[in-house]
Amino acid sequence: MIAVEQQERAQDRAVFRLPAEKIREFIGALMTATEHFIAPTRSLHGDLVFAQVESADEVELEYENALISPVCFVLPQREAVFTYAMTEGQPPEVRPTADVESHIIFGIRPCDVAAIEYLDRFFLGGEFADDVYARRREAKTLVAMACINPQNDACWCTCSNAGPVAASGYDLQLTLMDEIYLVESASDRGDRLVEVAGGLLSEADPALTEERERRVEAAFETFERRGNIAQAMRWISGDQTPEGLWQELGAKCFSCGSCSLVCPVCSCFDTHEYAEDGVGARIRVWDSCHFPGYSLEASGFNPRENEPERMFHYAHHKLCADTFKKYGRPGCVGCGRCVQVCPAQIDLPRIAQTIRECGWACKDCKACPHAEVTVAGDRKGPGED
Amino acid sequence: MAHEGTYVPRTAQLVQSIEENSLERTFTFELLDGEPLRYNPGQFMLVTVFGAGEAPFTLCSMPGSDGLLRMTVRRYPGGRVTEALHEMQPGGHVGIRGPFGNGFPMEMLRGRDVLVVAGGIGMAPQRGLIEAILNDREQFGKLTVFYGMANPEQMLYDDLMQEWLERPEIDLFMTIDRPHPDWSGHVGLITTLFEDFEVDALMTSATVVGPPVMYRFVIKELENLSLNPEYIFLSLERRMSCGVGKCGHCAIKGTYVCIDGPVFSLTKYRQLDEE
Repeated sequence: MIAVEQQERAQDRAVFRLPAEKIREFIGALMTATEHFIAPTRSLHGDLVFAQVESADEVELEYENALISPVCFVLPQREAVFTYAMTEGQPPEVRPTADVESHIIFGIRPCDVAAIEYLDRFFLGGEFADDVYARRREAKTLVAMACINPQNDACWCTCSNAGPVAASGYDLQLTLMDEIYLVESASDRGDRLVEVAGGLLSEADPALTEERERRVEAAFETFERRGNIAQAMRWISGDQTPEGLWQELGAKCFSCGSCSLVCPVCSCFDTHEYAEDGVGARIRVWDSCHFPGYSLEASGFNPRENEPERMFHYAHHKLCADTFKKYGRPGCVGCGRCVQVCPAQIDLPRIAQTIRECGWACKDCKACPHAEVTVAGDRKGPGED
Repeated sequence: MAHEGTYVPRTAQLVQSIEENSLERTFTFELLDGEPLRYNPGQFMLVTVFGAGEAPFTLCSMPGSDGLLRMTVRRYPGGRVTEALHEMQPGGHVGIRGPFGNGFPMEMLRGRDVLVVAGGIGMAPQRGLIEAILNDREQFGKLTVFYGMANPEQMLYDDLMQEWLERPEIDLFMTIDRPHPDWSGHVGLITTLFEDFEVDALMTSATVVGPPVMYRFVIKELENLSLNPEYIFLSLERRMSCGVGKCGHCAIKGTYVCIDGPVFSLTKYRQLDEE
């Protein structure tokens, strides 16, 4: 499926090649085209982070994905949704938050590109569009770095329709092929960056694209197969999971919220009020559905007081067919961050795997209302339809 | 001015704050931009007290020609928004967003008998519905209201209740949970009002709003009356931070109480299966 989409796109826009030794020169050119250049870089202590860099030399080119996704530049952990000034006896002066400055996010991995695509559909679609998200998103240009090979053994994007190469959602995408970067544009913004790079890029031989497709196909074999997510999705959607499963998983969970705080798709937020000396702001802050207070009401009633109920809610939201139908993909992009952080080893791939192992099976696959839920990397286990 | 963004409220002024009882007050707000607000009974607003925060409250009356918005709010100790509202003097300013949610499905009530079941502050959203039915009385069949409260001091809208008791076009039955020296009426949980109560099961719709614990028992009574679950409507409360289906708090299996509800048929409520 990924290959088909890429072929279609390749017909629309030219594909370029960049000699690998020119990559920092290329980055330097991109840096002239934006107010802020965000890229993978090493912190003082050697951790890989996405942060603003001032020179191309600071950019890390061989890097595992950052534990904190660059999605945080699109949906920050804290941001004001409006501000106000209060004067005694007068109506408060309420101001929407100002426009944000432009950013290029360089080196974003395909899983995080898929997460932003999901968030775009979630925040900008539906009955109400989120104008705060819209303004911030509009100012971002995504220059993706395809993976081909897994960054670590937690990566499972091939099982969740998100990688190892982005099929859409980016402006420009680079794939390193030995001594050459394949450079693809998927938007007008991408095209502008190609112009900015000028003579550094030359048109790529179609053979290079074909070679890339062969490597992507091969990647499906090298990535960890962490279970048939589509099967878990169909089962959870059909209310086909036994209650005991959630009791068992919930009993192991510490409700620490780590999985949702590192998840690039998780977008739940709480609002806090900040006000001092007559000036105030409504701040939205990341929240986690694993926190006991997440659904606590003013009356003291809490519909999800216990972790098993919260665990079901979390897994259902990620995996249900409804999510797939509304946003065109699973609510997981296979980045593997929850695998890295969960202290109880009940990350999403393991949850999906446990759903499959719980021995439950729908009666009739042919009549399945969720048959459309499929992912490219599906691998069927023994005895599975 | 009115709609600058998803989260930016319109400014309104508190014109009246009436004490209903020791816990609850009814607030009347006037929007400063003067643009009238249209809404259905059962829809809710998000009210900002600047400096304190924002919280959802259901409108408790139908839009009148005066263009005023009324909400009855219970004060919760430690609740920054409700405490600040209860302390606010007329003339104070708040932010208002909304209306949000679906409200009661009037098309499923019209032409039918309507049984309104309200527990405690659940009378606030139900009051708007009852007013809407009374304003358009000939469009509906029999209107019966069951109103249960812990004790007579918790009664909302005393004068209105007296008026409804006297009006022939509405049958109001009230009950308190335990005997009380100031009460000569029916005593017992709201479910006891269903004893000897008869309905035309095929022609009756019911609406239920009250504390979560009440729902299970009232649903059982409505089923004993053989009402069609497609015609039983319950208003759910959930924590909310946005009202527009983005913050995630009110989601139940992909259904958002803030935009898909808060009113659900019993059939849908059962699918959500989270009480």
